[in-house]
Parts: sequence; structure tokens; C-alpha cells
Amino acid sequence: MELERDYKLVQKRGLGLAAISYDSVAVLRDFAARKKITFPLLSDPDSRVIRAFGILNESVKTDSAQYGIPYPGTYLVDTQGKVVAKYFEQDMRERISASAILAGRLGEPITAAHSSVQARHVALTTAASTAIAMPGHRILLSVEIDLPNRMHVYAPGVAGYIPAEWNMDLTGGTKAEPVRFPAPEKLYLKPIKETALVYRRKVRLTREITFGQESALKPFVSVSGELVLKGSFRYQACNDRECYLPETVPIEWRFQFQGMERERAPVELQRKGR
Amino acid sequence: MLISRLSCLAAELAAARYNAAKRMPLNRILALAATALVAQAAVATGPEIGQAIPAFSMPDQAGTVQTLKSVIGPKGALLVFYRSADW
Repeated sequence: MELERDYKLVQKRGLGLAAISYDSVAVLRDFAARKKITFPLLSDPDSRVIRAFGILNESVKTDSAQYGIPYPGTYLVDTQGKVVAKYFEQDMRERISASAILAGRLGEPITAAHSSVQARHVALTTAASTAIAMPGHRILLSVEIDLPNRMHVYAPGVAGYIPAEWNMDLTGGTKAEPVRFPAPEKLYLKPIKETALVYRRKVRLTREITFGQESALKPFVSVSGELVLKGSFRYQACNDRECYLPETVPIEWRFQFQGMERERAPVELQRKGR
Repeated sequence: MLISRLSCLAAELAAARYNAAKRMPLNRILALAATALVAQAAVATGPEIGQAIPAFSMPDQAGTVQTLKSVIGPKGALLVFYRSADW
């Protein structure tokens, strides 16, 4: 389970972690031993807690072995047990990764799958909240723009210039959420007596992406198990004297692909339908 | 994400209110609002932001009974509900 990998980071942020399912203690014991899981996997075989939360999946037939599963989702709660944030997906095959919650909500630095490009006038650094690509997982990507002194690029909403734009190739059914741009600066450009919305020095843009499903992603995975997401960054750089032509720079993120869990518990432990 | 779904719902309701101001027949407004709600409510997401979660007590993989108090860290906790460890 990918949560084990993020458990240390979660703890470093002062958070506890528990994962709840309708599995029996025997199934969880077997799973934890196979996957070397050290955080608590809690057993709710009658779905009592799942029901108390109001997240029982009612669309499952009551006589099926799957009856009792919840709508999958994650709560971030404070020390009083009050919900600070919650993450549920419309598509049940998708889910947010703990790394994206830590990076998006708790300021954990985005440092995985890191690469840098020196483009004209700007340096670009791309990174992700995790180095692992798993089907249906929602993670956070970042692009950091490093501008030399006196240089600026334009922010969305600017008139008459090309604003910074970050496009993604939607490889293998991967979905991209809108870019989160930081608040721009208003810069007065003396020579032309205009005020424009710009970014200077260092700016970080982020966006969530959700990896496609396994069958769609697989064809893009290399023999060594690598999955590369590509995109492009477009900008127009100017200094206080001149403006340069717009540039489009290819950017990428390299992940290690990990397929979904296929190994099951021993037959005698498996849950049966009614 | 939930936020975007909520803002979507808010937009639908705003549209319904706007239509109400234009004296759209009540049954039409209700039908619109109902469609919006059905579209949004496919996934039940439990306690809302700011609400306390229900108390719980469940055994973990070692058979040790855990509660919110026993799993929580100094700043809170992540509680992950998932389908199954045996899928």
C-alpha cells in the first residue's frame, strides 16, 4: 500500500494515520505482513463505523461479497476530531495520494520526480509530490520559474502580452486540473507608462493531476517501469527595457509506475457474499 | 474535487434563483434544483468540514483496539476509508 511509503512524512507533519476497511482482522493481518505495513489498518467487518460516517456504498447489492464497502475517501481531522478537509472522488477508481494532501494543505515541499531546464531568460524546475505513478492516483505537480534580476514574465489576466501558460499532455488517460497560479505583482513599466500583472524572481505554479487507469497507462510505461508525463511551459519574458519573443519549453516528470494490488488474501480468509 | 462540485452546485442554485426572479414556473425550478442535487449527490462523503467525526473503536491488524485518541498525532490525523485490502 502506497500509504506506508508516505507514513513517515505524515508523522513528521504531526499527523496520525489509520486506514479503515470492512476487512476482517485476519485479512488485514495477512495483508500487513505481506506488504510490511506498520500503520494501523482498522477492521470494520460489519461496516458499523462506515455507516456511522454515512459513507456506506448503497449501490452495492446486499447479497454481494462487496456489500459493506464505503465510498473511498480521506479525512484530515484536527486534534478535536473535527474535519479540516476531506477528499472524495466522483470516480471511485480515483483517489488522492497522501503526498498530495501533505503538499497541497500542509506545505510539504514538492521534491520528487525533480528535473530542471535552462530555457531562454528563465530556469524551470519541475517536481511532483511523489515519484510513483499509480493508476487513478491524484498527485500534485509543480513548475518553479526562476527569473534573473529585472526580468519578468506575465501573469494570467494580463492584456497585450502572452501570459505564463502550462499545458499537459494527457498521457494514458491522465487528467489535469487547472493550474494554481500565485497572486501576481502589479508592475509599473515606466517606458510605456503601463501597469501589468507579472511574476518576478521565483514563482511556483502547482496543479493536481490524476493518473489514468491501468490499462490506459500501461502502453506508455517503459521496459524499466518508467512513466514520463510531458507538458510545455509558454511565457513571454521582458526586462525593464525590452520584451523578448514568447517561448514554449517542453517540460517533463519521470515516475516509476506501480500497478494496482492484485495479490489476494488466502482463500479461506476471503470474504463471502450472503 | 469536492470544492469544485460544491461551487458547481452553488452556480446551479444561483441559476435557479435567477430563473425564479424571472418568474419561471415553480415546478420547473424544482426540477432544475433536483437534477443539480442528484448529479452532485452520487457519492456520500460523510461529516462536513468543521463537524466532528463519529467516535469509533476498531481492532487493527494486530487485534489491538484503536480509537481516534489512540491513532491521532499532535496535529491531527489522516483517516483513509478504502474499499478493501483484499480486492
